Parts: sequence; C-alpha cells; structure tokens
Amino acid sequence: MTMIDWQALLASPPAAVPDRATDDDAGDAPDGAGGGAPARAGNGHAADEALRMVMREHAGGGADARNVCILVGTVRRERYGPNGKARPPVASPLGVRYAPYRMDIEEPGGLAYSMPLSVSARLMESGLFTDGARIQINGAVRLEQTYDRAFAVHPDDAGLPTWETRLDVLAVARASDAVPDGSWVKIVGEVDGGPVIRDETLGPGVRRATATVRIRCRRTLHSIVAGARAVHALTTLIPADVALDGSVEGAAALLKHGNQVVVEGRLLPRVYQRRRGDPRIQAALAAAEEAIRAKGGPADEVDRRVAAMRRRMLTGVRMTVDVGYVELVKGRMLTDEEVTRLIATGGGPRRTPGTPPPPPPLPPRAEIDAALDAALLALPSVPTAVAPPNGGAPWMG
Amino acid sequence: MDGVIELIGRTSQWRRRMRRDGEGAVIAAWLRPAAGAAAGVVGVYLPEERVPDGAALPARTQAIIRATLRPLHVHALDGDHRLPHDPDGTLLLLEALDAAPWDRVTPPLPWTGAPVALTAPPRAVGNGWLADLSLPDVVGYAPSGVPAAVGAVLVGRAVGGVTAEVGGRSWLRPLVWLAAADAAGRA
Repeated sequence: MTMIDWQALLASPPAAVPDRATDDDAGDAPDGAGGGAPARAGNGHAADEALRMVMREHAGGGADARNVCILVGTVRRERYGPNGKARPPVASPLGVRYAPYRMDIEEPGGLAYSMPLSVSARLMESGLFTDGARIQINGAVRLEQTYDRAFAVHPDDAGLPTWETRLDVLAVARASDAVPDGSWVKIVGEVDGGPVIRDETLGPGVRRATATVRIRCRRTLHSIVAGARAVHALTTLIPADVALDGSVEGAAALLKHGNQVVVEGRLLPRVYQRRRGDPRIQAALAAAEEAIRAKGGPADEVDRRVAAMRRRMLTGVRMTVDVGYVELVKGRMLTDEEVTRLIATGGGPRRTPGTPPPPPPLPPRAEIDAALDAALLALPSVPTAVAPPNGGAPWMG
Repeated sequence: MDGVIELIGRTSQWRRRMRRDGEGAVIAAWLRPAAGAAAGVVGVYLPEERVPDGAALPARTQAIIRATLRPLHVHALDGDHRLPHDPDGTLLLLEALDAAPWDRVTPPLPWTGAPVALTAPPRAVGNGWLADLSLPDVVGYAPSGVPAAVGAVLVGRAVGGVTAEVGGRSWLRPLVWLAAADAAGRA
C-alpha cells in the first residue's frame, strides 16, 4: 500500500533564469548528478514511462490518473551568506519539517526557470535530495491558499493571502539521463467558471490572446485500511493557460463552464504584477522601505535598495499549467464566433474584469450645507459644558 | 489644543486610513459620544506605530477614550463620513492617547477646553451661530448667544460633529462647541 504523505511546494519561482555562478556553487554534486549533456529525446515516451511508473507504484493506493504531474530537474539546497551555509529546515504548523531546496529546470526548448521546493524530512530520507542531483518527481498539482510572509507588517500578521500551486508528491526517483528536464501534467476534470482572456505580447505590436481557466479535478481516496468502505473525495482546482491562436486544437472546449475535459500540458511560471493600490501591499511596502532607510547608508545606495525591494515585492510568479492538448469528454465546444466574442469582451460572465460603476454625481454644496444645518439643530443633546445644568448626572452629555 | 478630553461612547470598527498630509497611516474609528465634552459623531485616531495590533482596540462597543484635539485629514474609505469640499477625504478630530472598554463606572473627567479664533464672519443657525475657526475645516458652533467678531479668541468647550446623508453619501461637519458666555466675548 502506498500512502500519500509527502508534499512539495512549488511557490513563486523568480522570473529570471538562475545564474550559472550559483549553480556552480553546488559543485559537490554526487556522481552522475546532472553531469554532461545526455542525449535527450523522446519526451513523450519518457512521460509515458513515468506515468506508467506512477500508476504501477500506486495501483490501488488511492491515486488515479485524473491529476498527474511529472517534474524532472536538478535540485540544489538553498544557501545563504558568504560561506554558502545551507538554510535550515523550517517546521510547518502541522509539525512537519521542510528543508528549502530549489529545482532548476532547463527545458529542451530553451525555457529555463528555478522554483522553490520544500522537501519534507521524510522525503529527505530517500537520499535523493543532494546538491546537483537530477530527480524525477511524480505527483499531483493543486491550488492552495497560503500567506506571503514578505507582506507581514507586524509579528502577528500572517502576511498577504495568496494562492499558490502546490505539488503533492507521490514518488521521487533519480532521473535517467535520457529524460530531459521539464514537466508534464495530465488533468481530467471539469472547467470551473468562465475564462479570463488576456493579451500576451509576443513582440512589438504582436499579441496573442490567452485564456486562463480553472479546472476542477475530483479524485477519490480510499481508506488506509484494506477493506474499509470509507471513500474520501478530494476536490482540487488547477489553474491552466491555453493559447487561443489556433495552436492548441480544441482549446475552445476549455472556455465553457462545466465542460468535462482531459488536458495535458506542462508547468509554466507566469509573472504578474501585484496591485500596488491594495492597502495591505502599500503597508508592507512602506514598512520595508522604512526598514531599509533605518539601516542608513549613502542616499543613492538606499534609493537603489528601496527601488529593488519595490520591484521584488510587486512582482509575483505563479505556476500554472500551460495546456498543449485538450480533449472534450462531455459538454459543448464553443463555436469560432463565440470564441471571437469572448476574446472581444475579455472573458466569461463569471470572471469578467468589468469596470466599476461611476460614482454618483456630487450633490450641490448648498444642499449638503442645508442638510448639515438641519442635522445640527436636530441633535438630541448638547454637551454639558455648553448647555446650562439641567439637574441630570453631572457628567452626562 | 492643551488638555486631555475624556469621552465615553460607542466606537465603530477601527480601520487603517492613509494620511493626506504626508506618508503613513493611522488606525481610526468613529465615536458616538454618550458622555464627556462631545456630541454627535467624532473621528478618533491613533498613529499606526502605537497600535501594532489594531484588533486590541475596543470596537463596536462602549469605550472610554482619552484624547487630545489634533485634527487630521485622511483619505476616506467606503462608509466614512466625508467633508463637503473634499469628497475623497475626511477629518478626524481627536488623537487618542488610549482607548479601553468602558467599565460602566468611571465617569469622564471634565475638559479644560481649547482656545480657538474665529476666522470668518458668523452666520445664524437656529438660535445660535456658526463660524469658521483657526482649526482648518472645523466649524465653531454656539447654540445661543451673541455672535463674536472675526478674530475673537474663544474657548472651545466640547467637540463633535454632525452628519447628513445627501446624494447617497454621508457628509460630515466637524464641530467645536463654543459656550454662550464665550460667544459674548467673556472668554
């Protein structure tokens, strides 16, 4: 029997590609870990193999093929300071200790990114998590609400509520040199809500419409005791981006709420700008700026650090599923005309950005003054210090 | 602006508001005084750095508040009473020194008052009169008596404010109450 007791966190990878100097820092990699440039071909075949491995290892163990993610990359321990000390593990509220790692993924197509990976102590015991080791993680992705501590403005503040894509790890194995870096995701589920349509800029003056949708995936977990009749439903939401330029056949199936679909794709970091008008973000920026200025230093240097801090805090990255294949199982695919209309309006009815209604026109000042005069005369009482004593309690207004 | 005002009244929720006169924020609430040198509605605030945990302040309950008269302009939030000449902002009259749930026994101490000067000719309202004061956006109100001349220095005996709903918004007139004797020039 296999238990799902490992969890890895995919949270806010930096937008930039990790520099090689940092990678070289992990030069004490074990033999064969990420070394050389192996022949990397047959991506689909590798994914099939990996999926078969997941299914084989977890047959009857509560997992199914409705939400599968395979991630291949190079892990390295997060380090800090001039001596490159490993960051210590942190304990979760549930008592599990996680060690901070990063996973560097360099896809054959040129896309490269690095993502934080929280590795539980149990997972560490596998011995696979050594600096520079190429590993293959198999699991399931889901959205989970958490708090970004970078935006906490006082010790009791949990931080900014945010949704992050998490990876529930089912199995970890050393990656074969024949398997290239990258990820593969397969989701069987239902489109939840309407899409959000945005223009992705491909180049100067060239844009491509991309839809962001959520897929609701419902899985069942059986009891850990053989023969038990209890079945637990596990419903998760997964964000997915699909291009609407015709490159993904059947993309229109993802644009209608309630459609049941099979989706295949890959994990992709999406960079977004946080709303700087949000009072919580404003407060966190002000607190961070104050802390930087309190440290002092040359004015130019302080200004540079403040600007860098603002850029860092206002830029967020969320992992999403970049859809490359869609199959409609049940429901209706939107027609070309409906898709065109949807792109023109910017999304479905449930998640249309919309413009706020204009504020009501200001009433004439004289009308306000007259109403305030009337309110003043209608006050039920005047303060004791102003009104003559009336025999009541001496301190009652 | 000398002297501490002690007020007992019902507070609204304490919320964070951004200052209009500079950077920073305050934690503020609207108080409806039931006892003390105040009447109507009055905005009360504390500097944010003094209340790291705003949830500890008594909200939506009877509270006793010790404060000083120190008007502050802030950006208005939804649900705030707004100034007629500045619909995006509002004025909080009192800076609180502390705020605590009222024990239903302690009476408020009397307020010594604050000197204010009239900066505009008074106009009659009912049996009393209104005039702009040296405190920006605060109106002096004497419920009775002879109007004082422009430039006269009087003593504010109480604070407060009145509100009115017009055009779907709530408008605020912050007030300093002037005693009739003061209005006659015997301050």
